[in-house]
Amino acid sequence: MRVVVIGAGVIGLSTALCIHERYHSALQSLDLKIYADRFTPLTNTDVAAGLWQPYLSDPVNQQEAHWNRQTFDYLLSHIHSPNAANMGLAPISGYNLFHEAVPDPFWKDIVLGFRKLTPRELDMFPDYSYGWFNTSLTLEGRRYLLWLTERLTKRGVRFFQQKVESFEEVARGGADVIINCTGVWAGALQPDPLLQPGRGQIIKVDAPRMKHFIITHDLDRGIYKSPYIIPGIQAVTLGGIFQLGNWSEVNNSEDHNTIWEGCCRLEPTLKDAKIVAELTGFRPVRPQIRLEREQLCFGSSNTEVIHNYGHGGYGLTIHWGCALEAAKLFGEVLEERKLLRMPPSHL
Amino acid sequence: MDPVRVAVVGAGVMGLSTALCISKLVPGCSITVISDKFTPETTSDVAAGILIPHVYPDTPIHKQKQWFRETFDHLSAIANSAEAGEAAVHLVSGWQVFQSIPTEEVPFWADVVLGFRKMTEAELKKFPQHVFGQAFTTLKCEGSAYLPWLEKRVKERGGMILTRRIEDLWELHPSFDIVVNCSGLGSRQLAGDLEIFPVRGQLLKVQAPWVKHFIRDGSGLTYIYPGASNVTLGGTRQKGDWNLSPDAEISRDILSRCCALEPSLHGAWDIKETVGLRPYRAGVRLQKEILARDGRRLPVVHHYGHGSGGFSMHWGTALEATRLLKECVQALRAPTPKSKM
Repeated sequence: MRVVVIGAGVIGLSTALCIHERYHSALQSLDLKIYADRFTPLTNTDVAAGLWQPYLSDPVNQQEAHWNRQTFDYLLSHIHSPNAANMGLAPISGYNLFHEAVPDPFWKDIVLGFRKLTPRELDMFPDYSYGWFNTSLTLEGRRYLLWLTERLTKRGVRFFQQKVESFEEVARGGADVIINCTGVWAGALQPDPLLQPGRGQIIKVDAPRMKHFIITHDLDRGIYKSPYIIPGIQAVTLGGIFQLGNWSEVNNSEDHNTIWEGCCRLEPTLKDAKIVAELTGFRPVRPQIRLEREQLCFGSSNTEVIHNYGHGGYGLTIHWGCALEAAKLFGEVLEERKLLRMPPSHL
Repeated sequence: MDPVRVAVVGAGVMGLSTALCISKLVPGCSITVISDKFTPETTSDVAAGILIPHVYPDTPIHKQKQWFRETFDHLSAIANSAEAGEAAVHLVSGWQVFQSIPTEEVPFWADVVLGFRKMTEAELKKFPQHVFGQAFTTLKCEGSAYLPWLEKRVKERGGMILTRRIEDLWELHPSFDIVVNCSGLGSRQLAGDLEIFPVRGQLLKVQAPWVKHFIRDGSGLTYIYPGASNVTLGGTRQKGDWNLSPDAEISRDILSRCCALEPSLHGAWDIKETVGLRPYRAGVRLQKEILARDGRRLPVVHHYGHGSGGFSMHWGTALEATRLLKECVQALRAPTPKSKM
């Protein structure tokens, strides 16, 4: 069975790992390759702040809530490990702030210790009148990708730097199954009018005194358009930019000012913080994630494609649940082709 | 009117914060802080500086709560101001976990810290050896930054700093009118107080920037406090032990206990050992005393004996020491009664 995963962001690498862990011993042979034109540190995953937190509103597809939970539980089970920090994983607590009272989010029982903010806590944030406190997880994109890469390499999975121009080229190269994890660029392989870039820009600073995430919300303007401060393993990410349809990969000085002023207003001590990086990325925005099978016919053979893209600003948050689902779809393909010689291992 | 000349003995967190309080609240004083040791060589520089009170058996609870609240409010104001960086004061959230259910599930300071509540079952899963826990948000100071910040503020207000080892409080007479004794363990000698003794604490200061929460075992012996520039791992409580040299076996034990609470600490690097002697006393000594010898009088305000609770109580007790000093100043300025024939 020859499998090609296209894409080496968090979705590509985690899906590859999930499939390999479950089916490697169940198959006569599993040859799994990863094709991508961008690897860490040049993927969108590398730009993400790395905080586990879904959007505030219920997902269009209820399965996504389940996949979010599966991801949190999976990550939580790793925080006891001495290697957690190497994975880019650590618990972190913090504040979500609002200008008015809002209903509790669907994920309130997934995170730990979710509660409303007390009046004294709200006094610390004079522009806001309502909020939540909870303990969540940091999963830093770059470290996690490096960790996934190491796990995959140890399993004999090979990586190829190349720009895939079509599914056909990969199929004719011998792939039986193609896993499409091309994220925001999926439209280049197959037009998808539902997929759009949600451009984000972030500033990374040195601010080791900051131990909490602070995410503000402006419900009129929409998600990620209000300042946020998210400490990672080492640096702190400042953000608050979300521009639908903007493909500019260049850092924009007006956006820089928006982020800087907004975050310094929220946390005045940041004004003395040293800037260590500034990055632009594209959230792969879609009304819901495309996670489904498609059969493509090239010449005489059928090639199975499993699409797994369109995770918006919550890719790290939902990645493992989606990887499990993609692995399940892969299992269906194997069953249909009567390829399984033993039940798949469930790790 | 001539200024009242005040000598503050000791330049740890008590000496410097008392000097600052006096400079703000008692007009007409000239203040000199005198000590043989200054930051970074004081006990306060070793302390983690987290605001979690230690209970003093000999002090009424309402007083301790007042001192803690005053300290919390004072540091909270700094944390929310432009000075937060210089003073290295910041908020930190975390958990205090117990291996058996404590007699007091809600401590006296629960409503002074932020967001105090019992840990949920899901949160306790992270600590398989522990059956009960408290989650809250508190403040952390870092002696090595806070002390210089205090010293700067004292100097800005005209306070003077003098490096000198005082062997006897009478050395300060007649150059000074009132002495404020913040000499911690030094009071065994300077005040002849044998009720104060060291409780040795060995600590590790490590690099582990991913640790964002404090974790404290309810026994108080094992703790992890993430700070502005490092993570403090502790500790020990060795009564009557004056030894300031770190013990390698103890360091291994501390690291092992902390890794049991937070396994990711196995990845910590740049591990530095340090030792501090807590100035332990059953109650903080906040008291006026008039020393008398050969017809000479020297008013002293004692302000020492904070044990494990120094940072947690420092501003509240400094305010109280300042009130006592004000009484001494008023007594000095009062017209002397005519002697009866």
